[in-house]
Amino acid sequence: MTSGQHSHSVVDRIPTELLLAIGQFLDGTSLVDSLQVCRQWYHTLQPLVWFTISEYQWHLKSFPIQPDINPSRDLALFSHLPLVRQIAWAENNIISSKKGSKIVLNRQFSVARLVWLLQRTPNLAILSLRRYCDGFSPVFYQTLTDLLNLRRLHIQVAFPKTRIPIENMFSLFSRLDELHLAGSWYTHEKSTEPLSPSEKTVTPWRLKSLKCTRLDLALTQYCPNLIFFEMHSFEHRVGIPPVSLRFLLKCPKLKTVKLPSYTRPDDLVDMVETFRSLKALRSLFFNVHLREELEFLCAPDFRSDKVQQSTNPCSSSHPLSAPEPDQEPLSVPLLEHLHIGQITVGVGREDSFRMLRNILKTRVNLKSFRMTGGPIDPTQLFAQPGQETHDSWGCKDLRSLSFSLPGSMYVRTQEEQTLFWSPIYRQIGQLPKLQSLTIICFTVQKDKSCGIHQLAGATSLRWLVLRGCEAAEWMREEILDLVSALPKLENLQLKPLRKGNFPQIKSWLCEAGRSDIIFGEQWECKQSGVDIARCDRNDYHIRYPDLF
Amino acid sequence: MSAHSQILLTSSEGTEFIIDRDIADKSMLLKCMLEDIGEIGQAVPLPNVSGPILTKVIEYCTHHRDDPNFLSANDDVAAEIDEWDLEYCKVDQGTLYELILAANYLDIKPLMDLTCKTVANMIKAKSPEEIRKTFNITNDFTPEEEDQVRRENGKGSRRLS
Repeated sequence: MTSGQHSHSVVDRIPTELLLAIGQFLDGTSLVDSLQVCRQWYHTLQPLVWFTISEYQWHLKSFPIQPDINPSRDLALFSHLPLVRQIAWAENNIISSKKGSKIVLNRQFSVARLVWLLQRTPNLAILSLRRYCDGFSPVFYQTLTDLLNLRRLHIQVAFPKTRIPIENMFSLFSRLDELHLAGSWYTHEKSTEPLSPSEKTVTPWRLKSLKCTRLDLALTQYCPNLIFFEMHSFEHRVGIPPVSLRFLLKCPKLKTVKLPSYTRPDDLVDMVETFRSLKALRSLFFNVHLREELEFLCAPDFRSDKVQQSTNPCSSSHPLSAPEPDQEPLSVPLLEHLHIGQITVGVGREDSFRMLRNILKTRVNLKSFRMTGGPIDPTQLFAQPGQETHDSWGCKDLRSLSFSLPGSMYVRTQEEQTLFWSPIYRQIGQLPKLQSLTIICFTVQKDKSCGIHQLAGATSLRWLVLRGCEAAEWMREEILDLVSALPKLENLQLKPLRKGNFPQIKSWLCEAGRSDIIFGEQWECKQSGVDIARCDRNDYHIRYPDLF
Repeated sequence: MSAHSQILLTSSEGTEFIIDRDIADKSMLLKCMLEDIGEIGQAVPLPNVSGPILTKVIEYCTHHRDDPNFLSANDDVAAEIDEWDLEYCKVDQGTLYELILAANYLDIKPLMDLTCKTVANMIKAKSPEEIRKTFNITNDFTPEEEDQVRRENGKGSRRLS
């Protein structure tokens, strides 16, 4: 408390509507606990209990809505239903298959009951629906379009009995902020084609976030306000003509584009041209299958002397990758978050390694970088001995780094291990802002010290995950040095596939006075959300590994 | 009107603040007022906002000056608070409440959301007793009432699962 006027509690002087505003940011558990604080809180926050109906709440004995329609009993609900802002509903068999779920599914809410509810929740803003058999009737979709205040819709319906033309939903879609489309419940009558000039007067949609399949890509031409676009990773329908990403050019505000399909279908074309033209693009996730895509990534964000030196031998084929100093196009977006899935081009070739290194040398704005797929060797990202200055990373602001090492390497002797790990740790130790580091490797053995002390320069590290090292043995000095060099460390996972020395590590952490560090299995527990209280406390930390 | 025009504000104590028009426009209250009556060339009195709080509010609006998504900033309840905002909210409770009131009065939704979210994070994962302690609240339930509230709602965690 800085001044005398705040020396006593101020919260009970906060007007009711402000407490209500704060309450909107509370989740189920905290909300219920808050009700028990005092009378003012109880009376103010009570209506918020009705704000959200989660997928699970339907199945709780205390849930006030019964599966069957009963006019006299339902009467008591009417005053509450206008308070409902968010509903999630899923078929029982979908919920029960969720890993770790202990919910007893003792009730089956029919679609008719759902429709009944949706017709009485005029203020519903967020709706999530998942159904895997039979689908919904056309009448049901009509009910959805009648929800005038709906802003976010996630709908996943597989194996429907009937399909509806997606154009029927356009009046609803145009009012939404966020739309996730999945399943096969709709058909495209004509909305896979570019808009004809006469249709250009169509009212633009509000949509800021869209997740859909590549067959729905043409929907983006209605969405000039789109900021986030993600394509589903599945949906391999054969025999469709190539789909151009150029539809995205109608969305100049796009900040995040995720195209995570495991292997990208060849029918997705115009990728690099599209990325280059999206000036607002900051986050990108895709798989690299073409040489020009790799060139695009290692092209500089802007002019710098360092960049001019790094001409690469293959660039002459592409006018944009070997820029003249004065005509450097600023058309390459200033990427801050980059996630590369697979790289299937130039595997094992020195020039592609060089390009890969150039990504981190020249993209100085990167805040997070992930490389999750093979088969290219990510150790090539790190400057090898003798090349430290030349290949030093330019992205000094990196906050999150994650990569997996492919399974084809066997490094056995002490010397080989040092050679393998040392450049990696040395480079990472030069990232003072790095908060999260994940290295997943499957076959590199590690049983002696191999330079992990070099991580000491990464003083901001909060998450450190080295997962999957076979037979990893950690030594006392390593652990003690590590935790004393990294005061902000909160989560440490050193997980071998086979034997390791977990109990010892735990005792060393205590010895170093850092028993607060979440270690080993505890971490897993937290990840899967079992330890809800902890998760809440570390709400934003938990998102760090996935800065995207 | 020029983008560089400036606005004069006076806080509750009468301290004067000169700010650029585009910063004033972050406040829907000021924006609408200035659009309605035009720039009157006189100071705009803000009797509900003290000087130190106004300084803090201006700091926020200045930092987010060129943020293209300022108003469309997602209302995602779970969204992560960015680092600058996190540092910005490291103030004592009293200041935080005054910021909420100021953001509400001046109608600056992103600041309102940020400050409310910060208070909500102070509530999360605490028992009712811990919440009372944090906010210095007296439990004014009768034992019977308290018992009933608890029975109605059960333990938070049980309800969630």
